[in-house]
Amino acid sequence: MKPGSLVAAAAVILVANTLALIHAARNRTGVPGAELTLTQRELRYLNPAPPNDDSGVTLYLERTDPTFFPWRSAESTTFWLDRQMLQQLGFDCSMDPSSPAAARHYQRQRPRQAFVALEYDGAAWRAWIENYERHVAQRPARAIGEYPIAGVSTRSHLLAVDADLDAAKLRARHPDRSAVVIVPAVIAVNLISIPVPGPNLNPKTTPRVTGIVQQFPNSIHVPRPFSDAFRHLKPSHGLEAAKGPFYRVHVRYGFLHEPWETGVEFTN
Amino acid sequence: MNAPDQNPRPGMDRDAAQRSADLIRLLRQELASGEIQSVLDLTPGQRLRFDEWSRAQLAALAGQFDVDTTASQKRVSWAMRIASTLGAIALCAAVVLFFIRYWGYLITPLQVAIVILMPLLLLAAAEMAARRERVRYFTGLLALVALASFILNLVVVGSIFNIASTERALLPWGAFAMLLAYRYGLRLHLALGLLLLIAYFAAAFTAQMGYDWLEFYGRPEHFILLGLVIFILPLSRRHFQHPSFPAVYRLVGGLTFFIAILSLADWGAASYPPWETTNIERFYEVAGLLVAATAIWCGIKQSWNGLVNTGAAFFVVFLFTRLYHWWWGWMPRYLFFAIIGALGIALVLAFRRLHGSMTRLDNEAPA
Repeated sequence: MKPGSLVAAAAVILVANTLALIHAARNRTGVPGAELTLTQRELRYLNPAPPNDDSGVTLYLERTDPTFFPWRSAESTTFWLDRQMLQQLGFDCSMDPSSPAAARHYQRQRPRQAFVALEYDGAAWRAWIENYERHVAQRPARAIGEYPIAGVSTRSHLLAVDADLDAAKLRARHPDRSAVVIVPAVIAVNLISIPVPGPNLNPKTTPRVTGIVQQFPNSIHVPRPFSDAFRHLKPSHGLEAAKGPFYRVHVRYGFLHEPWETGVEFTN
Repeated sequence: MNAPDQNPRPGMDRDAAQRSADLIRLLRQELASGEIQSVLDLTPGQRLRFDEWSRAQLAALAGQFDVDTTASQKRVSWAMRIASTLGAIALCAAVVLFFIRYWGYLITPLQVAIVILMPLLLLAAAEMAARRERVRYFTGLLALVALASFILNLVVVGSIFNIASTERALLPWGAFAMLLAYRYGLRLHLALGLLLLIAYFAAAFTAQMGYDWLEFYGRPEHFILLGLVIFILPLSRRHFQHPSFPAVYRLVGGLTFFIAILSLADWGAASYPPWETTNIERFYEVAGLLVAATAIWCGIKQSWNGLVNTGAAFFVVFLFTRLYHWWWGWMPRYLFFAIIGALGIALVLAFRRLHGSMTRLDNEAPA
């Protein structure tokens, strides 16, 4: 057998790896895209119970959905990812949401790639928590128990605040690299045509178009030596899990909007 | 009479050698039966010369290509093929799970070095096995583990450096599988390579349009086109070294094509044309029926058994889907199933007629 195809097969492995490593190196050179310190609220460690087949440690980036108010009706929710923004992101929002053909028109539109700005512990979080507390105060005492109020202390302070097809334009609008991360994301269009169920249900709700940040790269691999401390943690569940562990993770986002860890501190 | 030819035909591959050995074996069996002996009325000398020639041919084919010369050997070969494929799948799982179990204890440079070296070493092992064996059971097994290691390799490098998920990895995986297939004549690798390349081109087009690449299956019309391209490819390029490969192209292309049509017949909203969803679904149901019937006809004409089987299977599926849409809603269930049963019987009769006419054509054809 001639060695040509054997050499080609080995070359495919080496070239693919070289390109991947160059990509990683490019991401980590130059001025970081963002540099922030996140806590266990934003970077969740899903401590698995033994026997654990995966010795790797991964943290999962969590964000708070600004539209998450289960008792609010749809029309009272204001969300920046509106029809105009969706149009700018390439979705065809020309169809009137009240039109009989709107369901099919918006159903046929597939999720699109864009960049999303995630703000940490900023104005969006403060607005969300103020809104939340105001609504809790307004609720009758018996109803408060119906909603997940206890979860607020563990809720992520990271919120999506803006989106654009161009990462540079998005960064120009949000220049604070210590509080805003630009990440690639997948955005879907959503036609809300029925009233959102809840105590304030308004059957006359008018249909409207809104966007959903469907996914973004949310797993961050923790390399050694930072991973050692996580690996030695005992598995915890329920309330115990909500209490801790408490840690801060220093994360850098590079030129290609991909993250890596630069340090971990355990605070309990 | 010439001396028995000890050397099989030059340029023959193992599949052709196996077919030749099967024919000689059948001929020997038939000649051993009393009926053929009385028809041919061979002299003892002729019988002896045929025995010597056929034995020498079988020995030469077995020596050169390691073909099966008895029915028992064929059964054992099938068992070996199944065992090596299952073994390869189990080994792939073992390699992946072993790495995942221990990779967290390694520093990053060591993790990267191991995952890069693993497919290279397995490629070298497959090459060594290929040089030692004529029937490539161990080669196929090692090549499949090499492919799994290469997939693990890029996934791990992507995870370590938190590289955003991309469709680009599908291209080297597909290319690697194709290279292994053509180097060692492995049909399973060819099928996997073609599927990876189909996924890559569909995903790359999807990403190019600004959509999430993982939504690549969301527009089945891409797969109709790609299935056709894969189906046509072997017509433009002769496979002298691997005569069994065109059938794999046709199978992968045909399945991709028909599954795409079937999914559009089931969910028309995923289609490009801006028609009513119901119209799109009806269009693809009828198109599926017609194309499946054409595939059966084309398969019979060209003697492509795989295409006949694929076409027949999808013809039945499209027909029953159409009947379901027509009748399920208003017809009593017992009547619906009775009609389906009657249609099944009618199809068997139709295929039997087709079978009969094909036998007549084969008998009338000059030898």
